[in-house]
Amino acid sequence: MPRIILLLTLLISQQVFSQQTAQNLFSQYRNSLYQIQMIDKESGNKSSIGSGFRVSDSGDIISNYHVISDFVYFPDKFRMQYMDASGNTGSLKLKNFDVINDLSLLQIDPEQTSGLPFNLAESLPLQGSNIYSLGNPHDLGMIVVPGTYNGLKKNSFYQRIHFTGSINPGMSGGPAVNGLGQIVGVNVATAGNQIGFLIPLPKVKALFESQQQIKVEDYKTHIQQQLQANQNKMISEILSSPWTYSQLGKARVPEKISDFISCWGGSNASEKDVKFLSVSNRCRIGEAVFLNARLQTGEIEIEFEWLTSEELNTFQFHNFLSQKIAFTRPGNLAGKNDVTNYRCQQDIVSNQQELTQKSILCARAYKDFNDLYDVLFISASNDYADGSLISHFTLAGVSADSMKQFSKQFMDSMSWQ
Amino acid sequence: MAIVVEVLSRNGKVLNHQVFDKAQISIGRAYDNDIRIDDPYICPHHINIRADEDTKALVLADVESLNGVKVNGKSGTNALIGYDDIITIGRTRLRIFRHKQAVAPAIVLSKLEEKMEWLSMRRLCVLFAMIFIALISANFYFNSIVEVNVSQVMKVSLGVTAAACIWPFSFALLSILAKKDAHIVSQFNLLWLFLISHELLNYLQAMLQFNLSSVQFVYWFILLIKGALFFTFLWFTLFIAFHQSKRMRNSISIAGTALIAIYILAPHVFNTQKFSQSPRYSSKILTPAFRVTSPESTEKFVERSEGLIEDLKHDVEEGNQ
Repeated sequence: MPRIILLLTLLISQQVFSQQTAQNLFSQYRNSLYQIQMIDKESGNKSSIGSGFRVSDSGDIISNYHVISDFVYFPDKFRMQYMDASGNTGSLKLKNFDVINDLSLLQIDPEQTSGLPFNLAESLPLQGSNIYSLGNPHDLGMIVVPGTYNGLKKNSFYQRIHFTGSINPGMSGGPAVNGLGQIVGVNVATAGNQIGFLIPLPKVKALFESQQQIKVEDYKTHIQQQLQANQNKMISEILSSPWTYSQLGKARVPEKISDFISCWGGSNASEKDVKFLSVSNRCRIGEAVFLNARLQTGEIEIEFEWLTSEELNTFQFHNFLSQKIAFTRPGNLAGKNDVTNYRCQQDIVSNQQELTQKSILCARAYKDFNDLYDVLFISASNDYADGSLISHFTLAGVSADSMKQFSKQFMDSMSWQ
Repeated sequence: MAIVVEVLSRNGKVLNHQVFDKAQISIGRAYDNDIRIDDPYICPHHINIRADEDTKALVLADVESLNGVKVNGKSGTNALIGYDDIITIGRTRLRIFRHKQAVAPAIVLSKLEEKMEWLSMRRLCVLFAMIFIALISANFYFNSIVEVNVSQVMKVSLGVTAAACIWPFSFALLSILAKKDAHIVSQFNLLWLFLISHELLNYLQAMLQFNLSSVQFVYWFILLIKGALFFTFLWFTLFIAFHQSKRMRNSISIAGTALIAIYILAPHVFNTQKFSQSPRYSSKILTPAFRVTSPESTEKFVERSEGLIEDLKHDVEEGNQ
């Protein structure tokens, strides 16, 4: 009995402490929290909102890139505006942004500011510490959400803090602070059910300390450089790390090509009344770089499927195969203003391990960015009359060199047992 | 001295013709005329035709008829008439001329006509029909990955065959209307030949597209052959069905082929700029036994993507203009 009471007291005191800190935090920094609004110049109304916070006396504000992406893409159609805790509004300038880490550095006229700016923390907190996420969910007004710092997200190419607490739409760009009110991250996304993701401190520091002013006409070049560097790093990491292999039907295929690409297996063995057996292995990175509402990039998908049939004759089986590979979709979202149509090449190719496959390689170019392509590959092996290995990958936003290197390594990776 | 009278149909076809070895003939509805025409708009004694003794010309005389007489659409009593004039009385059209009228020289009997004798063989027709049905059935069977039974296959292939029969039947009907033999067996044989070649071309296309890398080229090449095949088919269909001048037959065949070509090519011409999320390629895969080309190496295949990249760069430049 005493133990239970002790536990209860502990819980209650924890709660009280959280509330106090939250209240303190909110009153102390309310003047440095802003709602960031995208104003459609035509209608004069806000078309989207997010959060932002001031980090210096000279008016530097940090927010997400995706909050202001409309302005980056259409500087003539949109303008940016802030609204502070007392409801005052004013215009904002864009200084710099980081599309890979979804960050933007904005500037407000220093004379319009009051109160203390947020300070950046020295280092990331210990796992399990309480941290607080601030923001403006659903345009309901500024709120504080207490939660737990759960370290950096595992097996992820893009570093993110795993935050246990609710982050909701509109809180994007808001700060996450430790008990001392120092910035440890920036709200960016939610995976639902109390799982949120924050951009970690080092990325925020890097952008803030760069203090580079990007000109409006250089926005696209700036994005291009960041995408190029990112895809270069990602593809070379994949190609240089050792691939692990596993058996799929008669074939031996790569199972895991990188730590940050997660895989799932599946088969139709439990289904009745099917005329073929299908065993598959699908991998994808599961994270994308957001460029605008119609264009996302940075996706990687890999799929292998072993198909065989005892009931279909070889002609029927190969007709079935033709239908199976007839329709493929890109792994990422892109509109006609952003990319060209796909162009394809195809041939029967025999790889280094004597596995013969009908191979189709397609690519589409990004209209705004030099030497960046979405690549799509699909092939069906052609060595057995009654079985075939379908191999497929999509790469979003890679250079021609990356495409060639990856395609070569991928196509040579499959073999027969 | 004889007079020839031809009764014509509305579109100028000769319905019957009579020769009178007399200097004068009468035309009307009464039974005592030289030519009796059963047309309620014609008077019992409507016109007389007299051959002038000196000039040998034919003179038309209206016998005070109710509805008059028209020569080439103009009212004409006492008109001089000849081979080129169309005489209308009541609702009947006539041509009246002297029997010494010159006729066009005989046309050389087309050697093609003789060479195509074999097309009218009934046994061949049955054989071709069976080959066609077999091809259609095989196609249906190999393309289906669900359970198929004989009745389904028969239903589909006979359905297609029945639909195809509309073509020879319509042309046979047209040639009967044009007062020619129906040549129904030849028409059928021609149809089977066309459809069988078309099916075989489809197989050839699948084979080539599976084995070769230039699938676009194969597609256009086969389409071109199919176009030529259709032109030939239409030309021979007309040749069997009607007596036409070569020029007429060529024009109709070209027009027919062009119509089909426009229908097939329109999406290629008008929708080239349309944005699509999905890539377009030939997914045709055949069983390894049909693989005749030696496979390319991965290295060469990947190197070849340089061309792809060049084309895409060109697309981007074009889009920016």
